[in-house]
This record gives sequence, C-alpha cells and structure tokens, in this order.
Amino acid sequence: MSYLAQRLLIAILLVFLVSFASFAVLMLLPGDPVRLMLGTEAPPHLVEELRAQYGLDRPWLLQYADWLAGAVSGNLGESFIYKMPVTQIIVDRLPMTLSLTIFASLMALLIALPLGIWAAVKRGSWVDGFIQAVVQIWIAIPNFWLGILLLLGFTVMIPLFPPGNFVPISEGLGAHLHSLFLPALTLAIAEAAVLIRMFRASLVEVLNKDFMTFAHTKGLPTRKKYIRYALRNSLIGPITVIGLQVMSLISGVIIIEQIFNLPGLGRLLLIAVQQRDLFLLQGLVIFITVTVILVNLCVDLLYTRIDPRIQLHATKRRTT
Amino acid sequence: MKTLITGTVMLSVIVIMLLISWIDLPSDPNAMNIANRFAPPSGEHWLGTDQYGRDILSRLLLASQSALTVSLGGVGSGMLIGCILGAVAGYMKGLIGSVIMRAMDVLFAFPNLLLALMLVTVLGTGQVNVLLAIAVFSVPSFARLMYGFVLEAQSYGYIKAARSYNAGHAVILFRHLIPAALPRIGVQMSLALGSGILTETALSFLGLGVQPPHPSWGGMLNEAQSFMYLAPAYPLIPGFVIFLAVAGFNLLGDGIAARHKEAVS
Repeated sequence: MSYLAQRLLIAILLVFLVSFASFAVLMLLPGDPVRLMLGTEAPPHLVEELRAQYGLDRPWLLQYADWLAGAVSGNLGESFIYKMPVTQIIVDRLPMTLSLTIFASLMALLIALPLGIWAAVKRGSWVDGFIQAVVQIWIAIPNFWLGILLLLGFTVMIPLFPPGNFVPISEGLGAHLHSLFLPALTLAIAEAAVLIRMFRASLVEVLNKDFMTFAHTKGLPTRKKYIRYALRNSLIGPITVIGLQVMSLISGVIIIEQIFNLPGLGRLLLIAVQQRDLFLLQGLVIFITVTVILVNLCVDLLYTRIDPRIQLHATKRRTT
Repeated sequence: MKTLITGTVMLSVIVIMLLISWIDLPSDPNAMNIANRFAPPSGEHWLGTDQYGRDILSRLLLASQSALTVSLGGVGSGMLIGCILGAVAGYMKGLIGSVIMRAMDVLFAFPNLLLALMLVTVLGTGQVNVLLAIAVFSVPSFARLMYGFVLEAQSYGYIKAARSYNAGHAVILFRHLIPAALPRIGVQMSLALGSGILTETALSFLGLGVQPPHPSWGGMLNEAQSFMYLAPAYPLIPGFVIFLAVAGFNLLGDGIAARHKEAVS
C-alpha cells in the first residue's frame, strides 16, 4: 500500500470514529430537544408525533446509521430551529468564516515571518531576546480580551472601523476586508505569536548546521545563503504544525465572531449550543473535525513532497 | 531563570487574590447600589463599581476561587487519567496500546473549545461540567507525553536492569517509569493549566460556565463588553487578571522546562 493510500485510509477511519463519538455524546443529551422546541406545556401526543417525525423515538444506533447514510451523500439532517437542511445553513454561513480565517492567517504570516527571521538571524543578540520576551508575554493574552481592547481602541477612541456592520464580499472586496479587519487582526495577533516562535526555532536549527557554515566559509552572498539554503530547509518544521494552528484558529473564531457580532459558523455553533439544536450541532462538529482531519492529511502529503525522506522512512518501517 | 521568576511573581499575585478571598472580602460582592454604578476607584471601592454598583475588586477576588479550582481540578484529573492511559499504552503496546492511542487521536481531532462546548451542551452549564470538559481535553496531551516517554525509557539501563531481576510490571511502571517522567509532566501540567484557565474564562465569557450573579472573570469581561461605551476602563480589569494567570502558568512551565534541560545536560 502506498503512503498516500495509507494516510487516506487512516483519515477516513478517523472521520468515521469522530462522527460516531460525537453522535453518541450528543445523544446522551438530558434535555429533550422536542420538549425544548414545543415548551413544557405541550400536549404529550404532539410531542410523540414530533419525536416520530424527527426519528428520535428509535434506538440511537439506528438513528446514527440513518444519519451516516445521509451524511455520506451530503445530507446532515434538518435543523430544529431554522427548519432548514443543516448542510444549507452551513454553506450559507461558510464564506464569512472562510474569509475571516484566510484574512487572519495571511496577516499572521505577514507579522510572524519577518519577526521570526529577524530573531533567528540575530540570534543571541538583544533584538532576539527582546522579540522572544515579547512573544512569551503576548502568547498569553486571551483573544477575547484582545478583541474587546481593539474594539474599544479603534471604534471608540480612534473611530477607524465602525462597529458591528459586516459587509459581505458581494458588496466589494475593499469594504468586505475593511469590515473584517479588526476581528482578523485579533485572530492574527494570537496566531502570529506562536508562528514567530516556530519560525525562529526551525531557522536557528538550520543556521547551526554544517552546510550553513560551509556556505559561509565559501563566501556565498548573504541573501543567497539565507534564502536558497536556510529558509527552504527551515520550512518543514512550521508546516507540520499547520494542523494545530487550524484548530486554534477554529477555537478563536467561535469567540471572535461572538465579540464582533459576525454571522459566521462560530456564532451558528453557539446558537446551536444554546438552543440545543441537535442536528445542527452534530453537523457543525462533523464539518469542523473533517476540516481539521483534511488539513492534517494535506500537511502529511505536502511534506512528503518537500522532504522525500519522510516517505522513504515510512516505506522502510513497513517492510521491516 | 528570568522566565521562572516572572512566572512565579505573576502567579503569586493570583494566589494572594485567592487567599484574600478565603479570608475576607473587602465588601459584599453581590451588594447592589444602582445610584453608585460605574463609580471610579475610591477609598471604598479600590477598583470602582460595575453596572449594578457592585464592588469590582471583591467580585474579582471571589471569582479567583472558581477559576483556579475548576482549572486545577480539570487539568489534575485529566493529567491522572492521561498519564495512566499513556503509560499503559506504551508499556503494553500491542492491541491495548493501539486502541488507547487511537482513542486519543479521536479526542485530539476536536478543537479544545469545540469539545468543551459539546460537553457543556450535554451536561449543562456550571462549574463541575466545565471542570469535566477541561479534564476530557487535557487527557490526550498527557497520554501522548507519557506514551512517548515510556517507549523511550524502555531502552534505559535501569529499566532493563529492573526487567532482568524480574521486577513486576506494576513496580516498573509506578516505581521507575512514572517518577522519572515527573519533570516533563510538571511542565505539561503548568502549560495545561494556562489553557485550562483560558477555557474556563472563555466558557464563562460565553455564559456557559459559572452562572450569574456569582462572579467569574469571563462573565465580568462579558458584562464589561456590553457596557464598554459607558465605562471604557472596566474591560481592562478582568482581562488583565486573566492574562496574569495564563501568562503566569505559561512562564512557569517554560521556566521549569529550561531549568530541567539545563540540569540534565
């Protein structure tokens, strides 16, 4: 079996297990969603009818089998509160969250790459020490506090960004990015702290290698030395943790959308939690975890491209 | 060294807050006085008052209890379960080992806050359930740490020696392997406490943790956000305390890790 097929199989298995685990957990809900929907005063026969309509009166393993069969063909069930297919609701809200995360990731890279490289090149100097100390403090700033501070600073004190009006991308890219600037910055600052550490650590490791000393003694120009040799070799470390970064971005998005009042998947998730909308919650959980698993799969495949030794290693391990 | 000292100083502030809250609060944290809402700091209210005229300092002090007990309890139980699972998986290998570690992979696929939200939905809001949620997502990181350590330690001389004089599995596991892993566990524990505090405050910020009128750092920050146009200084206070606790645990963890590395090499 090739490396690709092996990774793919593991990913599919993981998706299946995750969906089973989350379905099992959510089915243990003590509150009856139908009761919640109709109120406690509802006549019993109506409750029974609705339970039957949503298939909630059957054993949960059977319900899971039904749900799984639907999920495979893209049908994640129907939301109790929106009375719409869950897939439709997710698709409607996805573009906003996607814009926000992409915008935030780009901003984080833009902040972290120069600072990380600067610290690594000047390793041991006061610049490096200063950047490292700042990052250590900065990493501990809760993103929800940072969001509120930015909101306070840039909507009240210096009114650069009007609060709480999200502009969809269809009304112009400039206005769209302007309306997402503060939330994206909040997410980016938190991500950048982690990235700076990583870029610095992996670049320092490469800079201390023998081939860099050799490049130096050969008298290669600084730019060539750093870009052609050091940077390229130091990329692999940070790529392996993209999966973890995506996870922390998702956790961040849930809170940031709440603070900035953005109609995305994070807000939707909180609504599903507060209203106990079972299928909506299950659909979102699956959507998010599948995204995480897919990203990790892509990372695995990507770094066999960048560093062929990993694939060789995997093959060797299997044959022995 | 600097890291360790800074972390300790930051945490001492939090611990002192906790101690004061146990001994005596400056005033009743739930006493309302609408006429005196959003009062600036004064001799009577050192940090001013909130939207109901309640004393902010007393509320902050009282909230330190739930923040610390919930995260300490959650991370502590997650650590115990995770370490045992990881050690058993690493030691037994085979089927048991891979079943345990695959289960950890499944848990690891959920972002922390998502897992916590799911559990709080199922179990209901409140401190105990937040504690459980923190415990659940702490388990896999400790399990992986212990698993890796046990695999690595199998090649150590003293473990081989213990095997050779026919020491029992339990003896090797609990007398030799687990104590040797303590420094690493300590570091991981400190870092996990940082994220534990973050989760506790995030959940109470979202209204899913400690329920009002009982004060919580996250809940206070949430209230502060709704009134930030009226009282722009209020959000600074609970946020800074959260930051102090999280940064304290992070720096302590980094500091211990650096010291340990120095001592070993």
